[in-house]
Amino acid sequence: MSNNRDQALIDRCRRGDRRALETLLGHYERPVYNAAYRIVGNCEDAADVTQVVFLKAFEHLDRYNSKFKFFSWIYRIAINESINHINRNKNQQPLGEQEIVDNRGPEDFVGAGDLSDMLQSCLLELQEDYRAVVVLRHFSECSYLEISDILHIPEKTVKSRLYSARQLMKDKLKNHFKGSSNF
Amino acid sequence: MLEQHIIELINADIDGELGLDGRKELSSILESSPEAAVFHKELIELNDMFRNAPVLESPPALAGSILASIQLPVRRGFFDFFQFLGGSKPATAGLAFAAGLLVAVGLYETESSRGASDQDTVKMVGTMVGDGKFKAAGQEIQLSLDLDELNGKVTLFRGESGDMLEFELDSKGEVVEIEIDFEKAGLLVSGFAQHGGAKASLIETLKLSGGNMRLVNQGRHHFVIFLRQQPGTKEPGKDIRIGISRDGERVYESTRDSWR
Repeated sequence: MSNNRDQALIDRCRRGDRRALETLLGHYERPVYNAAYRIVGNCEDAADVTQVVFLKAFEHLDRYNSKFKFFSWIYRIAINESINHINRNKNQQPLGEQEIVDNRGPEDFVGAGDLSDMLQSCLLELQEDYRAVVVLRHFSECSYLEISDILHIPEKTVKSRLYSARQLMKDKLKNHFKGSSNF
Repeated sequence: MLEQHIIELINADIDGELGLDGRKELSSILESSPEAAVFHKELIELNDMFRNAPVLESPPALAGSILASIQLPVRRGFFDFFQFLGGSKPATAGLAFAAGLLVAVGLYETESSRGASDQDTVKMVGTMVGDGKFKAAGQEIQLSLDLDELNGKVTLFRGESGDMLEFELDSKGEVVEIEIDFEKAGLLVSGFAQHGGAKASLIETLKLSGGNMRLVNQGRHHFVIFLRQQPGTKEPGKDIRIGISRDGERVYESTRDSWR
């Protein structure tokens, strides 16, 4: 979606046009939901996060700076809100369980049909800042520059986090595929 | 152990961020280094796993729930008159705006070769810099629009001391942005009036920047723009450029030949 089109829709939203809001939501609801799901790890929480993301975005539409792409802004809110959600949940868990995000290891996934679940499980074992760059690069298909804009970190940091995250993912998957031709 | 530079090249290749020179360099490295080739293959496989991961559908009720919870500002008509008037804002108009009078600032008197019922500007409201009178004094030219987003006509009347551009358009409920460029035509904006009838919708935003006027509106549009001729201009009307955009995309752009 072009930034010009987004900007026109935002201008209409600012004037109270709900059709413009529906159009923007139609374009970004699924990508935001998917990004949130990949970070928080379950559908229910991803839906909660998505709702909060859009509420915050439209509540603070006056803070949106049109010099930047709308999708960068909404993704930034989505990533931050997803990480906040995880941290809130961690704080609510009893001591001793706080480090466990998903207690299934790669060895729990055996069939080809479980490949996606296994990938998700490995992803959830990464620390949040690594997880965020992987999600933005591989699921949201953002470029280094876009990730840099979204996370407000230098491109150099994007690359180093991404390379490290991939290496960790590769190692986790290798453990699972020990003895097979993959990895 | 692979050099950091090779690791970076391979990762950049996976991310589609490698230029032509980088690709050539990587190709040569992959041919000569089995270790680099294995690393490259592993990252391609990892990338494929991500690419094949399903895109999830959000819960069906989510969009409705989000829409229901978001409050947008209440729609209102809005004139950006300070910007519109720019440096030529008269003191009386300034006071009127300061008092919060945004629309009904003044009425216009017009005299033209067409009947009053045709132009009907007496019923219009708006503001005008100048004496508030318009006397037609020449051939009118017209531009017809028949687009999916908008239809109607734009007529330019030549006057004794200036021109008047009349818009009678219908955007069929769509929000459209109308951009009018007077700069090439050597004209200056001296006033604006909008039809106050029940059939017309109020313009939501109106901005003037240099020789360019931008309006955003939804529904029927019936308004006139008063123009002052620059000294020495003979027939500038056809050089007025009118562009129509919807959702940020330009759907129409007039040319000299569009005017009849």
